[in-house]
Amino acid sequence: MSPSGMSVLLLLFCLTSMPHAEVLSVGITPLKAASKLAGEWTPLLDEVGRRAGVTLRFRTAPSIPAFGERLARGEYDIAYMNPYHYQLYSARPGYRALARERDRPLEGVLIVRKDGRIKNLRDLDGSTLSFPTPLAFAASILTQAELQQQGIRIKARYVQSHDSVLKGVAAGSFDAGGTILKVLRTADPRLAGNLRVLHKTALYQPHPFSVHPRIATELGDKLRQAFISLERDETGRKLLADVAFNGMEAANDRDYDDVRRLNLEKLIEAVR
Amino acid sequence: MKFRTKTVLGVALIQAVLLAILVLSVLDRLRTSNERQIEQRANVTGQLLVAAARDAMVSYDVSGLQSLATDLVASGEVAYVDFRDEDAKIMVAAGDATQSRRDFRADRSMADVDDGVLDREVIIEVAGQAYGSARFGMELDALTALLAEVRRWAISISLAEMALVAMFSLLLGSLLTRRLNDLRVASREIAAGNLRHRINDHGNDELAETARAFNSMSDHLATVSQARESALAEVGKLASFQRAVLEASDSAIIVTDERGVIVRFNAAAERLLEYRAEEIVGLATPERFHDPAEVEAHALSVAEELDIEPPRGVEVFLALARHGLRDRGEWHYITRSRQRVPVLVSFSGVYSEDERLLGFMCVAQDISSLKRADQRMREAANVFEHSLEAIMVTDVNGDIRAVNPAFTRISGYSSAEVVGKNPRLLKSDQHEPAVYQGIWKSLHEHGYWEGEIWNRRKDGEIFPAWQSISSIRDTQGRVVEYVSMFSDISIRRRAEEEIRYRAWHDTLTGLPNRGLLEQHLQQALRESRRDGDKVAVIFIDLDYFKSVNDTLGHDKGDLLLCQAARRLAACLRESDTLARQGGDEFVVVLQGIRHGQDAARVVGMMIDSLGKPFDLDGHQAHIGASAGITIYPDDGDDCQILYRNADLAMYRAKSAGRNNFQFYTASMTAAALKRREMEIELRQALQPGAAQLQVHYQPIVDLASGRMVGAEALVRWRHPQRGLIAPDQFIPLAEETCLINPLGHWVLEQVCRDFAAPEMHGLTVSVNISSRQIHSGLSLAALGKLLDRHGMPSNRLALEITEGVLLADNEATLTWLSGVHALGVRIDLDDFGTGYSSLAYLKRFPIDRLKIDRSFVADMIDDQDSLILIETILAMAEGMRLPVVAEGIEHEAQRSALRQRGCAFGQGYLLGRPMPIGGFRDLLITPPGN
Repeated sequence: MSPSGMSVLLLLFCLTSMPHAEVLSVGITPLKAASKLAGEWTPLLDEVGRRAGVTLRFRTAPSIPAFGERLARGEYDIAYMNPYHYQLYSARPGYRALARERDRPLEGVLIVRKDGRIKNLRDLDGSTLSFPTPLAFAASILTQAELQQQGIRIKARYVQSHDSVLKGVAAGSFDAGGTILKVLRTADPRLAGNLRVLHKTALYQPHPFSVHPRIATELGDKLRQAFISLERDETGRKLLADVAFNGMEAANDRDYDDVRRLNLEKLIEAVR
Repeated sequence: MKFRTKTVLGVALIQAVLLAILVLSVLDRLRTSNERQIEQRANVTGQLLVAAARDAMVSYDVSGLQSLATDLVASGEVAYVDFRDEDAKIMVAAGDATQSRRDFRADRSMADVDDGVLDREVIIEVAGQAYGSARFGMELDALTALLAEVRRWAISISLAEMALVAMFSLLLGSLLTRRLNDLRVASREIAAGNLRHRINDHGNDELAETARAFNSMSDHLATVSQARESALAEVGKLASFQRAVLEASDSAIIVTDERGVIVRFNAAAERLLEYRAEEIVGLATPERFHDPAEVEAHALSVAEELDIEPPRGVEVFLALARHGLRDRGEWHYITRSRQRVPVLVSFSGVYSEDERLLGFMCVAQDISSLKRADQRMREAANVFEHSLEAIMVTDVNGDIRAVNPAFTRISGYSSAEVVGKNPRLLKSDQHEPAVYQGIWKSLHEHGYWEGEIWNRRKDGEIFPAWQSISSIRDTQGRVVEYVSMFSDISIRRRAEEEIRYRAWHDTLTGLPNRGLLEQHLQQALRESRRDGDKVAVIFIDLDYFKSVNDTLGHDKGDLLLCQAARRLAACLRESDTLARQGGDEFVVVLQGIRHGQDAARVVGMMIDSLGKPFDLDGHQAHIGASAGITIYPDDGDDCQILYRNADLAMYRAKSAGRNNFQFYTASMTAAALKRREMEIELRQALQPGAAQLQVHYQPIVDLASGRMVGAEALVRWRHPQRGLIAPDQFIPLAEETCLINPLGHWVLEQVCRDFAAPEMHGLTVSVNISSRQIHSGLSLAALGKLLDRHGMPSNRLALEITEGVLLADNEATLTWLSGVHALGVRIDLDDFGTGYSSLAYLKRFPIDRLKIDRSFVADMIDDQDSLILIETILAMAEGMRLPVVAEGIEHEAQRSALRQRGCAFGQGYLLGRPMPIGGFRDLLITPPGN
């Protein structure tokens, strides 16, 4: 039997053997407007849920800080958070990583206008940079962490969204802005065409899907499998495409030790 | 309403209507569009709300939602808004809290709104997943306020506009009407006669032109009117004359125009119909004062005459006139006070000189008095014709002018036969001339006469009439005619008699009833008192009548009563009264009787008569009678007592065994019974073969020669028990009953048989005859037969009658005696000198011999008077050449005295006692001694 066939069987089995589906909330980190996010993620989550034999409900928060607060409260059964949050909340309340996007390491970039004055990193010293939100891991945290490491002092202006960062830099309001490549790649060419990447950060493991400790291990495994199974069939692949994922692979908690080493708390408090 | 006002009002009205339409439609549109706007806004708001809230909702951003809600409310867009989670629990709310708490129902459109708030609910979902919902409400106050404001604005604008328009139209109107007013005023002036009036005609518009035209017209009018006035003056004079004529007329005149509309209604018409002219002129309604039935009838007759459809309305009267015919006839007008007046009406057409129809004229005359007179005449004529009394009208000379049918009926003369003649043809000759003179005198002095008079019919019959004659005078008091009326009262008389009869008589038998009987009885008692004789009252009750009634029926019973009544009546004289008391009881009053026993005899006869069988239409019936007799004055002296006595006696008779009589006085009964007995016995003795009766003969002797010339036959009765009964015992009885007839007959038979023998040749036998026999017992034919049978020569038989017979002095007696005489039989006048006969009777009746009564003979020797009487009788008899027989000669002295005086014959004991025929025959052989 083919893998897809297997997954179908599995799905059927799950569906038939579990008439009363459990409803789990899935908190997705608010990198975009909530409704957009919901539109992108809901189909995928429905499928994953189906495959795992549960009903997944999309959830998010108004802002990343708010998201963080909810994570801290353990409001979500499953959560897709940035690594910073993960390293925080895997400690308490103890979210466990299940899966993550395959082949998409997090990388923050600093963008400048192509025709801007900033040529290299050092030029940014003393400038005002725009970042999405303070807790935008790759765009804000990684970039600022590296700048800090480099000893480049900048003023950060948080413009709430990647779009706004791009627009702001493109508009010349800011010398540079922190964002991620995906954003750049998926942005409107008319906008992105004016911009270039100034600097890329190191790679880190991307956001994990993790479960709250209250979720049973078996269920977590099912979910993990479900996530991973997505790229194996047409349906799943389409859904992955909606969220611009390549695919998903298993993730475990130790994978994020590198983030832990960054001591981002200090950084975050400084910028908060 | 004034034109101006009309204009203004009209315009204002139109304005109002149009504005109203405008305003209302605008407002409506406004409202509608506003509503739609609000709905749209609601929709948009909803959509915006969803969009705005989506992120917050999805991300459960409560504060974000809150600020959104607050902002929304603050913006004034919504009255309230709340966000609810997936479980419809309110997360945030803003605005009027009460709104969100109340019972929510989403209004789909403005039409659903019922509380000034348009409520909506939106669901916030992403990718098919609902994250929550929001409810909001749009306040509509603003809208209504807006609408109200607009409405107010619209209304005030409209009013202002209307006012303006009104003002302008008023202005325009006055402009117009001013001119019109001028025209009006001018027209009125012209109409009033002021032809000089002109109006302002400045200007070029139509009004000015009209004014100019008006002015020129006025000019023309003025000219024309001048001419007209003079002409009118002429006409007016003529018209007033005509009018005067019309009004003066006595007849009601109604003039109409050619259509039938009344133009003239004169004073006489006003008086007649009680309407004023102004009420009638201008109308064409004949039904007002015509009888609809008459109008209908006239319409039909006109239709027939003209061969058209029946005209309607006023045409009914004008149709004939239109054809040039006069329509004249009698109608009834109905006046205002609804009286019917008979009128003679004439309709005719009124034509101009050139033959043009101008109108119609109706002339009506009140003919009610004529009609009344006519009616009276008709009534009088009816009376004349139909009166049951004869009416005869004579002129002042007394000649008959007219008679009515009743006259013809009563008198038998037709009208033609008597007209022109004198009424004396009715004279009956029953009255003295003085009577007629008296009539004329009364007519002359008093003008009328009335009374009973005997008239004569054409066939000569005389009849009693009640006649009245009145004289009729003219205004001057001169007599112009006499009216005589009479009725034939004979019928009335008869009717009166009939009534009287019925009042006093029993209808079944025709006998007097109790009432009449009582009267007769009273009369009888009076007469009896005066005459000194007696009256017997007898109650007779039929025995066994009831059984006849029961067995044969009532009508047979009635028949029996009638027959019984007849039988009873047959036993009575004319002076007696037989009455039916009632039922089967009869009462008899016997008047003028001398002895009570007379009554007994009669009653005995009646009882015997009733005892014979009755033949009731083939049915045999036997009854009897019980009778009670009472005698006045012996038993009582007034009617009631007598009745009672008779009744008592009758009952006694009934209880004594019926079929007998009883006297009230018992002794009389005994005597009567005894008589009755004798009667019965005599009857028996008369039976052939009884051999109780004998005829004895007493010789009549020639006094001179002593030779027997004849005998007087005397009947003797030898009763088996009683022995010899003297004739004076039974002869009167026989005479009173019918028995004298058979007795008499028997005696005659015997006598004829005895004396027919040849040895009796030359002897005359005389037989006593009573008046009863003359009248009922012995007919001439029977006598003749008797003589023939025995071969008795008639001249040898003499019948002795008493003077009493002659006293009746009637034709029957004379006829009978003459008849007897004609047969050859002699007639002796017996007991001459004792009766009351006038000597004239001797002349009148055919007497052959006189027999001087024995009483005279007995006294002749001693009594001078008797002697003179005898001498006188003898002298007279000689003068009349009548032989005389002296009766009762018992002594020689008598015989010789008589013989001396010329008496030829004698009879008496001296000369021979009555003896049987044998003895008599012996005597013939040996004549009695001289």
